[in-house]
Amino acid sequence: MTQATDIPKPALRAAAAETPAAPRGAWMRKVTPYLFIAPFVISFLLIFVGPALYALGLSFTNYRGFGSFRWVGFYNYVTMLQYDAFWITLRNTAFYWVAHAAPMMGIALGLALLVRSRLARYRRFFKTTIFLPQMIASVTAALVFQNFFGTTSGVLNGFLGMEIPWLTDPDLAPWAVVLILIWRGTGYWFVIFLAGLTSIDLEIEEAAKMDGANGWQRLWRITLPLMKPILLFAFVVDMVVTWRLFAEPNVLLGRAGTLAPIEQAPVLNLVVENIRAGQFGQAAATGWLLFIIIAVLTFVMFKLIGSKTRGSER
Amino acid sequence: MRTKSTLTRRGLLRTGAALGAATLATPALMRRSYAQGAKPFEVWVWGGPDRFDGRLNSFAQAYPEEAGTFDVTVRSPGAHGAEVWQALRLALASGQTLPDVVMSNYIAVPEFAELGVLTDMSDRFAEFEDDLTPAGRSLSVYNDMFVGVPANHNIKTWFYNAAKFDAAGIDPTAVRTAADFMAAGQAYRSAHPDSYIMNLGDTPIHYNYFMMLSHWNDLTLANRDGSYNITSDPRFAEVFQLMHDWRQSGIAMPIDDWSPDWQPGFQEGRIGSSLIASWMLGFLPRFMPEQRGEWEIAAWPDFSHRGSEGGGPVFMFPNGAPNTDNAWEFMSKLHLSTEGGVIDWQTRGTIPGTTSALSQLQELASNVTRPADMTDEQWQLTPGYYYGDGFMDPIIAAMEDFQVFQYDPAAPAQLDIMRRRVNPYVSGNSTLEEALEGMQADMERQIGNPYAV
Repeated sequence: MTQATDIPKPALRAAAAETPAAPRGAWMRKVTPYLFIAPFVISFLLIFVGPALYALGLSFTNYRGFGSFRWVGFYNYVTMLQYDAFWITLRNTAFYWVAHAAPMMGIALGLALLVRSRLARYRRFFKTTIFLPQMIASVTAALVFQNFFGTTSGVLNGFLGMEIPWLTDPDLAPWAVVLILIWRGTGYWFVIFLAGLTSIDLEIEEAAKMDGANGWQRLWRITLPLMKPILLFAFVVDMVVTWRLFAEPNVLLGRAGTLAPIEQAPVLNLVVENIRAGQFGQAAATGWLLFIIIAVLTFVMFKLIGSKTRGSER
Repeated sequence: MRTKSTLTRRGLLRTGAALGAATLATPALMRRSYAQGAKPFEVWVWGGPDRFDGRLNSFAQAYPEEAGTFDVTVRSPGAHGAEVWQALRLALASGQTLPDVVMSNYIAVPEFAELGVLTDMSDRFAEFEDDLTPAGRSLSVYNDMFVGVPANHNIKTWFYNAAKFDAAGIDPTAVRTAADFMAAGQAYRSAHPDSYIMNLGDTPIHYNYFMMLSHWNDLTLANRDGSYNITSDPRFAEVFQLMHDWRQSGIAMPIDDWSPDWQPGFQEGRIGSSLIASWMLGFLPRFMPEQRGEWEIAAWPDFSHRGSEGGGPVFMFPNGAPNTDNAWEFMSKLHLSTEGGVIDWQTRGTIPGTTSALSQLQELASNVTRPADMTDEQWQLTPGYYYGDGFMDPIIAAMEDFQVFQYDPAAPAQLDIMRRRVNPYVSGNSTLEEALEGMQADMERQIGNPYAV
């Protein structure tokens, strides 16, 4: 109350004069944020939640997209879980995720460190060049790699002077897919890591250098711990994207409109195959199983992030 | 001091305008309208709207006075036939206006016909029925009901390098049994160690199987009661074993059709012949123009001379579309009349389904001449220039044996399961029993009764 005495009288009069309009202003202040997020919320409900719930309903039917349908309960889920192709494609997808994530992140981080270091010249050139594969559509990239890996006429075999069936040997073909994933993804994560490295205060490194820490020690004890949240975020996002993998293996290993063989196919192929075959119920059930898998893995990863980040903050 | 780059309002507006234009241009790429006349209709094709340009040109040549009376809207829901089926299902599900005519491979006809989606065109076909070849009829009909106009015929055709066959002492007309073919393959390998009589890799496309299975017109994967015949009918085992034996004996180059090595295989002379379908007529001149005159055409050997590669494309008419009459008039004139059939063969190489058009084109093919309005480049890509006079004779003869596999309404799903189970057997990674039992079990579990629609 003592502060009120310091306020000039004309200001108090003006405030008193505005009092009747105050409730309207407060209401606007409350509503305005919701108006800003309304376009997103409405489109999210219409474009994502609505169709997802519709698909959930479909997954309990034998609907073909038209004509009549019958409720079949959990039949679509049970048959999919009993279908060995489902487990094979799950295994394939897990392989693609595990096999490409670590090397890709390692290469991306290594390149980001190199480009950020004082050793690097022509930084703008390297930034653009390393990001370039990300600008190429995944289908186009897979088509280029298809010719690169050809058995009798491929560039790689021509260089090696051999006829290695990179794309048809069941043991080799998945590695060709992994190579494309690394080649395309590295540039994207390179940019993210470079941004993360830029945010690290140079004074910390300077201080460590003054204390006698060599380059390896500074990387291991300062840079990587500070980059940990970004690295873990990268692994989570990459995991979600990889579980929805479709274009690369199918363009590389499929032909003339057919999808990749099940032995190398990602799990999303079963959704697409069922949609192509007019089995909407089965496709929806597979889609929801995939959603549950991604949700569980994301939950586990976030738990991991939470504990690690808290650990690093302590 | 370096200038800091910022996004100006003008730059933002420019970017927005570019994105907007790109968004508007995308559907335009999928759709093309020929607004000309008073008879509108909408047609769906796969592979891009320009795929229909050739048919419009053929129509304009065959019926120059009537071409301007049509207003054709062409839409292409995707690159492959499966995407057209998918778009049609979605259109049916959403209740939107249906296209007047849809191009589809015959393989999807049973699904839409069984569900009552297709218009019964039997009355309209009456005036053309007498002129229809048995092949044309088999592509037009499902369950004794006329449901579509045949747009082409995928006739089983054997392409071979005549000089290489001569050097190996192989006369294709003398190859009758499966054992003869195997012996011919081995003789070919002896004469040409770097070349093969065929190609068959680890992941054959479904048409490789169905071309063989369509040899029998009473063979079905499933019966109307939902029971499956794969393990009980020995003909499935016979076909799969034969293909396995070809692959494992070494007579086949281990690469698949449409793989990156396929075209170079022909170009480099490593593939000396191909048991395939008549659509290959147009591909060899593009694959290896320098081998003009070296390749000849024969019917498939007796052990599998009947059948087809999936029948062929058909124009089907969905029930309830607004302009069925206009679409039918255009399609019937183009593909069921003598003039339309001959012109479309001359300009695009499609094989008509009428006796009158076939006899005329056989005559034309016996003495191939270059059309006056054709450029050198176009002419060199024509089958007439590449294979020489009379190239249609063996194909028209093989048309006598044309028949379509008895597909059922779940055929699109069955193709994937068949490839999944049989490919490992053909490539030597599973047993015949595993292939047959796995295929039947998967179809029973994942599809159930295909007729319960």
